[in-house]
Amino acid sequence: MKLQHLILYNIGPFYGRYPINFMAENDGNGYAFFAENNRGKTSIYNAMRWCLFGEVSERAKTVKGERYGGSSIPLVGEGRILMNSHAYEHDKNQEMSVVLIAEGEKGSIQITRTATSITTLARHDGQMTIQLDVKVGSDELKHGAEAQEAIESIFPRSLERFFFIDGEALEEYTQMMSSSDVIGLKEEVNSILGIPALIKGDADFVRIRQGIKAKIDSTAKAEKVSTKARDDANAQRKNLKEKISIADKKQAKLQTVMSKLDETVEEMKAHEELAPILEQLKMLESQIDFKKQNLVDVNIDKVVEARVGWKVLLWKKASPQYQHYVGVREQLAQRSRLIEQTQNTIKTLEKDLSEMTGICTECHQPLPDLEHFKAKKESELSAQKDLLESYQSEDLDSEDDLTIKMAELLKIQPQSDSKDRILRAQRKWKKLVNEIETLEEQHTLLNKKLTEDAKSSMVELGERKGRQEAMVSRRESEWRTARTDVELAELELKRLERLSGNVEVNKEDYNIDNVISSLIVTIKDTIASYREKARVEVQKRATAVFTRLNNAPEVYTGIRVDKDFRTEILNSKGKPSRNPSSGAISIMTMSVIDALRRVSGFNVPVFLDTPGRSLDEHHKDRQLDYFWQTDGQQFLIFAHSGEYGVEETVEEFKGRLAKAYTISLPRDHKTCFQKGCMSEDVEHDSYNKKNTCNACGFEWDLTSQETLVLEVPL
Amino acid sequence: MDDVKLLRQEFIAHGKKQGLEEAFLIKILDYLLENQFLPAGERGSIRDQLSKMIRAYARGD
Repeated sequence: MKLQHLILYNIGPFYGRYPINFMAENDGNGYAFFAENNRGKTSIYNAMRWCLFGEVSERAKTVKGERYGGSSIPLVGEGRILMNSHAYEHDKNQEMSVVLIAEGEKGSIQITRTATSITTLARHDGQMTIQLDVKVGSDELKHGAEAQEAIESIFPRSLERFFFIDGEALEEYTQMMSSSDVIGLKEEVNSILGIPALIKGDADFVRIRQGIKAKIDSTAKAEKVSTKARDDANAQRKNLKEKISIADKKQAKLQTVMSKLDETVEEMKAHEELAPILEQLKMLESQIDFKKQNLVDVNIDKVVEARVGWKVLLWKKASPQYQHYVGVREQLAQRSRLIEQTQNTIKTLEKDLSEMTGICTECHQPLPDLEHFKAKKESELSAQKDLLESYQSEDLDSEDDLTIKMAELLKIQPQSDSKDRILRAQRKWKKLVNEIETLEEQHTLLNKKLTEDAKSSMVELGERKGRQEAMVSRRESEWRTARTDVELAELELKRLERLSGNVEVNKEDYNIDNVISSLIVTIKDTIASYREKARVEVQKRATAVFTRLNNAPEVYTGIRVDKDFRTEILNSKGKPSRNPSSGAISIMTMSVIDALRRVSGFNVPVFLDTPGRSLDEHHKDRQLDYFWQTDGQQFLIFAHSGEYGVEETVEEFKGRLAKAYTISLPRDHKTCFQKGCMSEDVEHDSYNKKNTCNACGFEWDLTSQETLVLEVPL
Repeated sequence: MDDVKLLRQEFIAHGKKQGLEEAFLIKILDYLLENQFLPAGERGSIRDQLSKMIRAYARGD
């Protein structure tokens, strides 16, 4: 991938639009941004990281092997932000964007990431919307997550550390490469060596194989079922044959019996004229049988009803006596009433006589004829006493005796309808007996019309016909059962035939399974061997770079990379160097990063911020000498004046330097910076704080904060 | 050693031992490398594509 253009808009110190051209006119791969501190070198470096990954982390600090910091730099808000502060504070619509245009294997790549405020003044990133658009070659324009995925396939974020190299953070790399701390870098080493491709590929193939296996197993199972069904179908065919044979035999037997029945029926036709008589005889016989059966029941009823017949007879005699007792009881009751009534009258009369005073109780007047009245009363009293005596002298049974006698008689009293019921049962029985006699008489008369031979022949034929009909019915039932068995066997055979057919072993699935199996083995074998070979290769490459950059070949002879990709500088005896210089360590780190990057084969630009830190002049020159080659990846450095001088560097690496820029403020320029002029004849106006070029007349404001990105003529 | 060719060489060498063809191995490896940073949860389409490649190879296309 070759970077072609970068367009910054309102990011870092760059207010407005800043297009930067990376299209070189020579074959060099070196790119340089020179600037004083705080002019915007790192902002360009960060702008590219933001464009690619949507996030820029603060530089992490490593203290005693532990990493601290590394939090994201916000787009907007308080403190350090990514957006240009003037745009943030003064623009009506806060917006920043970075456009990165490159040429890759699939053609032109254009990545545009834009952040726009959704409020008047966004106070935090939550108030910003991010738009990401990626166009790769002839593919459709991608947005959002899909766009990010496209970037990751070209420029994986997990490998950011190997391409965006922070010279000031080399210690961090060194720490992680040292024997005491490999956490973090190991995964990245795996990543850059392409091992995730193998590990994830292995997992992918295992998953794909599971699907194929399931299909194969399913087919095998179906085949097994089919084979069993075929065997069962063969057995079922045999079974069906037997069933058909049984059914045929049953049918033959049925036909035999039916033909015999037909013969019997034919024989019976010869005696057709007797048939009505026989029919009638049969009818009479059945009527007689029925009535005789009925007679049994009627007889039982008659006997049951007759059980109380003695009561009826006895009651006939006892009934008048009972009625007499009823009359006596009434007489007794009447006599009692009369006695009581007479006694009361006597009492009243006696009382009247004893209490008689000669004064009328009603009108209270003296009675005129008292003696006469008194005599009359006494006479009445005497008559009443005589009457009472006559009542009491009557000879009647006592009440108790009468009750006992009546109770004794009631024991033999039948129910009121007993007699009727006995008579009814008797009549019914008699009627039935008469009817049977009549029918038997009819039967005898009719029977006399038939000869004994004809009769016995007809009877025999009738019985035979009955037997044969019963046999036909049985044979028919047997034949039907046999037919049902045949039909069921046929259905079962069809089912088994269906199961046994249409199962074809898909050879393609087996082939695919074999291919996947081979790929899985290939991946496992590759992982096992490649990591070790890569280690040797990285060690070889790192040593080569280190040897080339190192200025003390007699002291430091190479780099050792162990199986966990931890690194050490070797001394002249081939042993780990005890106290290598900081410059040597930095060179080692750069060498290993470069070796890993090259072994990985990722063809993307390398961005090195503050490249000269920890390096002396010799190492700095050698570093560029190595990295800026005519056939390598683009290599961009972001250097401050203390690291690399513009003129010296341009002069020294002229053929290999593709593009060079300075980043500055107007006040940094004491010579004219107008393109094509560059005159040193400049007049400085300290009062108005401006410079004027005497050659071209160009003026520049020394108080201006407008960042200048000026291409250095090569 | 020529950069990424080390991985490719190893992969091809081991794949050939399994009886697989070089062109197919290169195609598979390039596709895996191209998508090596896609997380496992988003690899459904990758597996589909790999399946197609394998199926085509198994058919002899």
